[in-house]
Amino acid sequence: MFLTLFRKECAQTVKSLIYWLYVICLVVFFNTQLGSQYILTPPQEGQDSYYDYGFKTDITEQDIMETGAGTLVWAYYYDNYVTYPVGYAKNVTLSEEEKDEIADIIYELTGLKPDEIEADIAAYFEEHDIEASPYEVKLRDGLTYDEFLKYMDRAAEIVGPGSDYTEEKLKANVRIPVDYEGAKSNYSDLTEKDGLTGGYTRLFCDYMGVILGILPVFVTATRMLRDKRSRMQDLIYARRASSCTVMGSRYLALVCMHMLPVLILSFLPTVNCIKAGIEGVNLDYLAWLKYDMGWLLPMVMAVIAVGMLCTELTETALAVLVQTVWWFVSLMTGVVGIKGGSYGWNLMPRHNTELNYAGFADGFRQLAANRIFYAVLSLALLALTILIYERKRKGHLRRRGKISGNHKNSVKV
Amino acid sequence: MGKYLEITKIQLKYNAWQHVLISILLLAASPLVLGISNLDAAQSAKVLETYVALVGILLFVPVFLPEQDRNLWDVIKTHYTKITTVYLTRILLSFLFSALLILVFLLVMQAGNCEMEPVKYYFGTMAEVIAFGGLGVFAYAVTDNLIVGYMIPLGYYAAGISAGYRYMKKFYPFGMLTDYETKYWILVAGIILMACGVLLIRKRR
Amino acid sequence: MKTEIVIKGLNKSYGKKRALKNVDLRIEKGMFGLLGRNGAGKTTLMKVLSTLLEKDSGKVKVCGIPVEHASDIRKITGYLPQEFSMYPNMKVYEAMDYLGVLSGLTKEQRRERIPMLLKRVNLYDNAGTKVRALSGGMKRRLGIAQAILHDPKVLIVDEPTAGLDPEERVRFRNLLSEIAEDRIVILSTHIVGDVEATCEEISVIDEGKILFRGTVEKLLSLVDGRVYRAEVSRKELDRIRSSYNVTSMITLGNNVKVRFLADTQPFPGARHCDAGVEDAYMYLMQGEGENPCF
Repeated sequence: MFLTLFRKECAQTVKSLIYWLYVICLVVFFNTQLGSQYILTPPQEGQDSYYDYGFKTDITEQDIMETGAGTLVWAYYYDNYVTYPVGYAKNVTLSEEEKDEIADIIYELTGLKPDEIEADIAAYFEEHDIEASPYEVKLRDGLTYDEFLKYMDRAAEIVGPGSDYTEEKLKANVRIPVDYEGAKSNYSDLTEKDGLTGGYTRLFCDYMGVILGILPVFVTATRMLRDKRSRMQDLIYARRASSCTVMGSRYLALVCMHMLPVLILSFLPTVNCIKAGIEGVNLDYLAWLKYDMGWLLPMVMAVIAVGMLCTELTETALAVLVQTVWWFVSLMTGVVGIKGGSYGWNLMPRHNTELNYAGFADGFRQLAANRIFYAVLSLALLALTILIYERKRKGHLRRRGKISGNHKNSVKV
Repeated sequence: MGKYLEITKIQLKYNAWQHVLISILLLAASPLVLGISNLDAAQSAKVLETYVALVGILLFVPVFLPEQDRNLWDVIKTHYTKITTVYLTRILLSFLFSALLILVFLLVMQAGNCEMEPVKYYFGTMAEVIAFGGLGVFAYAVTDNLIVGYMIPLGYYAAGISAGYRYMKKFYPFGMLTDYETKYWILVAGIILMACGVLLIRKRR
Repeated sequence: MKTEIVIKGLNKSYGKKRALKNVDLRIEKGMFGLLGRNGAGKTTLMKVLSTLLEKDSGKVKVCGIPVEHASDIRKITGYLPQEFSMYPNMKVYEAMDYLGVLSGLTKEQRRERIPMLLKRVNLYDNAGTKVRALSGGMKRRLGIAQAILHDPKVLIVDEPTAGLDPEERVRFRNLLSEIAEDRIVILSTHIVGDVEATCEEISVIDEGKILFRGTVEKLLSLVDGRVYRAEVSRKELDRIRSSYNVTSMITLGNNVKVRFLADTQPFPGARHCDAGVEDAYMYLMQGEGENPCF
C-alpha cells in the first residue's frame, strides 16, 4: 500500500502548478548564479593577481591581530560601526565617551593617535589593492595575543552583540589573498583532494541551499491544504490506511519530488568539470550524489517536515510564515561564514567558493553533525505530524461544526 | 454605509485580525533584527524598503481567503451585496491598516533621530506595499491558491535583493534613493494587478 | 461474525454541550433510518460509528468489534460524509483508485471493482470526467461508490439526499436499498420522506436522545386513528395550535389546511385521515413522546 500511495502522491505533485513553479525557480536561480560557470585553470607564475585562488588557509595569530585591529581602526575612522545581531546589518552609533574609549584602545593596540589614522590608511592602500585586501595595521611592538584579545573584548562590549571583535569573528575576518605558492596549494587541494567536481558541487550546494531553505514549504503547504480545500479529509480519515502510511508516503513523495530536479541540476557542474578537460585531475564522478544526499537532502527534509507539521496543525498558511522567518534568519546569520568552514548549526550551511577545501575539512565534523541533526529533527517532526493526524482522525484538534462559525458569519455579509 | 461597516466588522473579527497581529509583531520585532535609531537617509530607506514594506504581503494577500470554500462562495454570490464591493472594502481595510502601521513606524523612526524626508519615504514605502500586495492578490486570483499568493511577492522581494536595479529597471522594488521614479511605476503596477486580481477571481468562481 | 451494530449507553459531549445522551441501539442487516432535525446528534452518532470521533463513554460494537479498534472497524465500514468532495482536478476513476489504495485494495481488486461500481452508480461513462465537472447528484453517487469500494459490511451515509432534486433523490434511495440487501446501511436524514420510502427500521433522535426505535408500522401506530385534517380560517388556526399538536399546514388564500392530532373528534368539520410518518415524527418531536417507545 505504501509504495502505491507513494507513486500516487508523486503523480499528484507532478500535476500541481506550484510544483512546476518550484522547478522554474530552481532552474532560473541555477542559470543566473551558476549558468555560465567557468572552471578554474591552474595558476600561472607571474599572473597579475591570484584573486581567483582564494585566501591563505594557514593563518597566524599575527594575521588575526593585524586584520582585527585594522577593522577597528577603519570603523573608528569612518565612524561606522556595524554589528550583525541576527545577521541583518545593524548600525551602532556610539556616544562621544565611547568613541574616545575606542580611540584609547586603538592607541594601545597600534600606537596610532586619532589624527594619524588617515595618513596610515592612505599609505596602506598605496601598496595594496583596495578590492582584494582589507586594511591591516601595524601593531605596537610587544603586543601579545592575549592582551590583544582583552582589548578587543572591551571593544566588543562597547559596540554590542554581533560585532566584529569577538575572537570567533576576528578569526573569520582574516582573508589574506594568496601569492603564487598559495594559489598552487589551494588549486592542488581542489584538484587532488576534492577531485575538482567536489569543489564545484559544494558551490552548487551553497547556492541552491539558499533557495531550498524556503521553496519546498510552498509546495508542501499547498499539498497539505488540499485535503481540506477539496473536503476530502473525512473520506481519507475513514479509510483503512494507517496515519503512518498516509503521512509517511506523502512525506517521502514530497522529498523525492523536490530532490529530483536538484539531482538533475547538480549533475551539470560535474559535466562542466569533465568538459574543462584539465590535465592531471583525478575527477570524482559521484561528488554530486554525495553532496546532494549529504548536504541538500537534510535541508529539504527539514523544510518539508516543518511545512507538513505547521499546516496539519493549523490548516492555515502558517508554515509559510514560519519557514520564511527561519530562512531569513538563517540566511542572514550565514553570511558570516560565507566562505565556508564555519558551518555551525545553520539550516543552510554556506561555502560560497569552489576552493577552501581546508576549511571544509576542518569544519567537516561540525557539518556532518549539523546535517545529521536536521535529518533526525525532520523525522521527529514527521512523527509529530503523524501523531497530530491520528488525533484529528479521531475527532480531536479539529474545528468543530459542519461549516465553522467563521463562515456562518461572513455569509451574513 | 452600514453595509460597509458590517463587512469591515466581520472581516476584522474573523479574518483580518490575525494578519494585522502578525504585521504588528513583525514591526515590533524589528529592533531585535535591525537598528531603527540614528540612521542616515540610506539606512532609513533600507529598513523601510526591505523590512517594513513586507506587511504588504501579510495584509493584502488573504483578502480572498474567506471565500476559499466553494459552497460558501455560492452563498455569497447570490447575496444582494456585490462581491466586488466586499473585496474592495476589504482591500481598503488592508490599505488603511498598512498605512497606519507604517505611519506609526515612521514616526517611531523619526523620534529615534533617523534621517529622512518623511513624505517622500512614506509614499515610497506605501507604493512598495501596494506593489507587494497587488502582486500577491493577482497571483492568488490567477492560481486560486493562497500559497502561490505568498510565494510570488516573496519571489519578487528576493529578486529585488539579488538582481538589483540593474536588471529590474523601473520595477526595482527598493528604489527609494536609486531612482524614485520606480515608486510610481510599481505603485501603478500594483494597483493594476490588484484590480485585475479582483476581476479575475470574480470570473473564476 | 454477525452483521449487527450494538450501542449501549453511548455518551458524547463537545465541551458543555451533550451531543449524545445514553444512546442504546441495536442495528441489524438492512436499511436503517436515523431521523432527526438538524443538530439532533445524527452526525455525531455516525462519526462515532465510523471512528471519526471518539466517544466519551458507553459501548459500541460493530460486527462484534469494539469501536476503539479503529483500524479494524475501518476495514468493514464505509462512510459517506454529509459534506465531501474529492480532489477537483482528478478524474473520477483516478479519485476512486486513490481511495481504493487507501482502503488497501490490490491493483487487481481495484481494476475489477471500480468499473463495476461506477456502472452500478451510473457513472461509468463519466470515468474520465474531472471531479470538479460533476453535478451535485453525480458527486453523491460517486460518494456512494467510494464508500462501498472495499465492500464494507456497514455503510454509513450522512444526509445523502440534501441538495438533490426530487428525481435524483428517488434514484438515490433506490440505489441505497439495493446496496442494503447484504449489509447494514445506516442513513441519517431530517427528511421524513427519505426513510418512509426505504427503511424497514427507523430511529428518531432528538437532542442526543433516542425517542423511538422500531419499524415504520410501529411508528405509525403511535398516532394511528388520531390524525385529523380540517380547513380553517387563519383566526381559528391559533386556537387549534394551542389545543392540538399540528403536524402540517398549507395556506390557501385566507384559509389554512391543517393536519393535527387529537384523541377524539375535535370539532365538526375535522375529518379523520390515515396517519403518515410525518405525523408520527411531529408527534415525537413535539414532546408527546416523553417515554421512548421500544
